Amino acid sequence: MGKSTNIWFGIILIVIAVFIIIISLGFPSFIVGDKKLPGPNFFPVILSIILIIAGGYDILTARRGDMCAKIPAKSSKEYLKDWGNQNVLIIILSLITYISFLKWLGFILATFMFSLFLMIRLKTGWIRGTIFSTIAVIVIMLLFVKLFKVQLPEGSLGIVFWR
Amino acid sequence: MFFGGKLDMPLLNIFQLHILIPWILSMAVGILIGGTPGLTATMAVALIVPITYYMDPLAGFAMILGVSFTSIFAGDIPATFLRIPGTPASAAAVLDGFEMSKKGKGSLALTIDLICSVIGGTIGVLLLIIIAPPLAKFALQFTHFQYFWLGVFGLSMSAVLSRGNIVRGLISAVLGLLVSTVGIDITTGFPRFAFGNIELMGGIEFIPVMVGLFGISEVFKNVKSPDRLIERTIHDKINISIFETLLIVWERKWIVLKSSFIGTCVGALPGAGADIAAWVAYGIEKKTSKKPEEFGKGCIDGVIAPTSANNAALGGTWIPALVFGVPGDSITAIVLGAMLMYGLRPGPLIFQQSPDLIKSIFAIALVSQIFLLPVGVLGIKAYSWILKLPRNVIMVFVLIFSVVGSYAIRNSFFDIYIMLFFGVIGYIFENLNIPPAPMILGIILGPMIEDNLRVGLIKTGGNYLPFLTNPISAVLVILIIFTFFSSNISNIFRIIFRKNK
Repeated sequence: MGKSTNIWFGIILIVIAVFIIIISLGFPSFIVGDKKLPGPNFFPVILSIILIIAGGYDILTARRGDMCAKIPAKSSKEYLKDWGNQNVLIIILSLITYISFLKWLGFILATFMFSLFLMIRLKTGWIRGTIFSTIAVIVIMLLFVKLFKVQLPEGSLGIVFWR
Repeated sequence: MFFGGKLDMPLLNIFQLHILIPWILSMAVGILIGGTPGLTATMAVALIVPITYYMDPLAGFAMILGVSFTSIFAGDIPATFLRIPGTPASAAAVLDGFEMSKKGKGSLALTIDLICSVIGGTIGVLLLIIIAPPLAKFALQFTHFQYFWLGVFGLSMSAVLSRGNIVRGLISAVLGLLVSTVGIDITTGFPRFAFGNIELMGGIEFIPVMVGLFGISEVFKNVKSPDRLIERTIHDKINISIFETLLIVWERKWIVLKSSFIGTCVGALPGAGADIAAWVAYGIEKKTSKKPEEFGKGCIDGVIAPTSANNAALGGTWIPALVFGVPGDSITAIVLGAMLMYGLRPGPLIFQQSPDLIKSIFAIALVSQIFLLPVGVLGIKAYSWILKLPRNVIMVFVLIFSVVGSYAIRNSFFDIYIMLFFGVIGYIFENLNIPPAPMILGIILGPMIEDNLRVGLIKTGGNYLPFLTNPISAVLVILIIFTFFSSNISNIFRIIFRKNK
């Protein structure tokens, strides 16, 4: 599985590079007078070619078994059963939810809820989770809003706890 | 009014209370900002400058210099304890500092870091005083061709940072270079890889990428293990012994001197700041070390090199700024604006018109190094107290601070998504044995390499030969080849000598 992971990685690199080349070829040319000079596609195309070569090399060395990825052989079901892997996925999903909710719940409410949810999930406990989440929100408000004058989202719900 | 007035004063005047108090306060603010992931040293200076508008210009310079030196050092505190560089200049310090922290030697790593920052900073300022005019003149001889090679030379450090697998390091660096091409093309104004997204047209901000690659991926790694989550973030007792650490540093004095010199020289080249200086010093130290395999595993030399260089680079960045009015990095770009705000015109004439001011600036820069020691010790103690909390609490704090830090740069939700995206990329990299550091190098150096390559080619009408015919370019090309292939060259020599034996 480690070997096939590396082969897949090489293939993905080549696909990305080909995708970049296709997009780059659609960029306009840079012509001054009658001379065609390096335009916006010049650098990305060169980099993509290097990426294709490196990806190809990766596939070849993986086939020979020179490189070993750390990813262990696990089916997706096994992967999802693991508490630690679930945590990674939950953090990613909760971060996406948190960012979306920031816009209308505002920083204070959204951050408190996000922090409390994760602390409970990571076994901090309700009471400690509530205390630390409150501290986190207050510290950030003091540091960023009061001291550094950074404007954090107040939210479209209009819930303003601090001005 | 200005030149003949307030600033024609003896050097001892920098110790007046109206200068000393804001100076030390700004240094404490520097610790706070630099130690907060997502807030940079540039941001710290930018926040301080407006405050100095109504102040004595000398107090203003004291605040600017003080905040820049402390924030660069403070960036190494979360880099060492949490693997999250507080500022871009601390990214190289993560590699061995964090590994030392994992072994319970975090306080030793930071005390070494602090002493090296003080020594590096002092050497940087001394070099600024001694060799400012000739070095700045030399840097001004660089044209697009030399700057292109300088960028490639910086990138060649990815070979050194790639944990023994140059191809994986190269892939990481090339991906970083590709990330740097997103946004409006400076030469033609054409938006590249923006897909109609206004935020992508503005390019991908460096800080969310850095926070994601180093910080968020570290959170993912930590939450995977239930046992580690309830542990404290810092295991060792915070024991700051300056004298014992001085002995450790003394044994490695040549590394400190070499890295500080490299840091100052790199800092003096316009466009290359403390972040590039730290990477170059780390790469050179690893390359020239007798035990390169120990780098990245908690090696003291790997802490000394980047931390000496990043503070030394600050002195270097002032060289072109003061002598020619060309900013060495984003911090000195703000400083030049501040100088104009004070009614000063940076350039060669400033040395003749206002020698007392220049002397005072040099004195402030030197004394700031002495102040850095106690302020830095307090900073380490304060942060280590916070980091005694269990890991599950700290990881949530890191996530929230990373989100706020990424958002704060340009009040953009998009930057938070960028941070999350690169956090996932960093986690994948970790599992595939791909070093994330070369990607950071690629993003930093991408614009420098591409712009100078293209402008150089435009100037020569597409002729590549001038890129190689200049002696400075030739030296840089040799250095690049040596960096990429030195392990192979040394293997060949080893085989030859073994056969002779």
